[in-house]
Amino acid sequence: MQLQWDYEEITGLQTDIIAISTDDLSHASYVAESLRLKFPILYDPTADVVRKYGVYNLWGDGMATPSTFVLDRTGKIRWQHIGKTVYDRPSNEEIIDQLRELPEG
Amino acid sequence: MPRNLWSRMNVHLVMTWQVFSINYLKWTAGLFLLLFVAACGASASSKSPSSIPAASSPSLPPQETVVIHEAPVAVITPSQDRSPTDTLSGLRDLDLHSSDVEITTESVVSNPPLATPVITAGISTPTLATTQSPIPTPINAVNPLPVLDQPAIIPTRSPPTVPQQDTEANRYAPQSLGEVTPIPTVVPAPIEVLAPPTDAPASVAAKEVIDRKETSAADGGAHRFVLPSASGGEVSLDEYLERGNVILVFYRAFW
Repeated sequence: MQLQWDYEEITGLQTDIIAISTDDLSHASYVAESLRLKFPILYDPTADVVRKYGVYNLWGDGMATPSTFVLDRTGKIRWQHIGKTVYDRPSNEEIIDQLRELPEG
Repeated sequence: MPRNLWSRMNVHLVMTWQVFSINYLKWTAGLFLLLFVAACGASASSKSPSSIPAASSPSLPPQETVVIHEAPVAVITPSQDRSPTDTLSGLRDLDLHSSDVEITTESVVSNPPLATPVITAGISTPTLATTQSPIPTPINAVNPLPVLDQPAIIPTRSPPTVPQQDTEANRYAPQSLGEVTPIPTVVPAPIEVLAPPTDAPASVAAKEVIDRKETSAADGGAHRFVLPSASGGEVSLDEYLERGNVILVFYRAFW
């Protein structure tokens, strides 16, 4: 949860963070408390939302593929990154750059 | 010889003869009586031997039986001029044709257990095959005699001229043997080919393609959702979108 490190800068850009996992709620709570996350961690037990975003079971393991979506205030997907491995994640700078390109509301 | 002396001798001879004859008769009668008694005793002892108790073996008159030894099958062909209903006389007219049959005459004292011969009578061929059981079967045993060449009794049913109506009264009314129970006609129902349900779950790959199409719509609109939060309560995407932009992160376990 490296986004936690630049959380103030991200919120300064009129942006919030939402994390979604198909893990059970107790595990999500453990992650939120242990990392002292400032954004919510949502629980998707049926993986319906994960399916809607098209990142479910892309590796054939029946789980959500690590991925990041940037939505503007109108609810449109402006940018996305779908990881090829567990450690394939965009950097905070890359995400912040995408936020800066979003039109101000 | 003086007359007196002759007469005396004559009298003496007569008397002697008379005494002798009387004694002879007595001894003869006694001898016959003794022989008779001995004969009666001998016959009585031969009829009831002392080794067999009288209660367990009643004295039966000697019977002459014909015992067939080592005769597996005896083919008996009845005569052709016998009436179908003739049983006893017809059996007498039977001719035995078997070289394997050995007939011996024995005298038995006690009746052995009767064995019923297995008789197979064919209707079309007038041949009687008798299978001999291991136990000797006396011929004079009273067994039911088979009726040969008797026409087969085949119950015939005349087809009903008037079709019966399938009514409640006819259905539960007592029927005689001659009547034919109408078989209800069952019309098979047409097989309905069911179409696959429309809400059947599609394969995962196909659904993922659909999901990708939904998320990659022309307007680029993201799917709206409301999910439970780990900190409690529920979180709606629309609430966050009202405040600004949203970074949506899907993750697994720790990362």
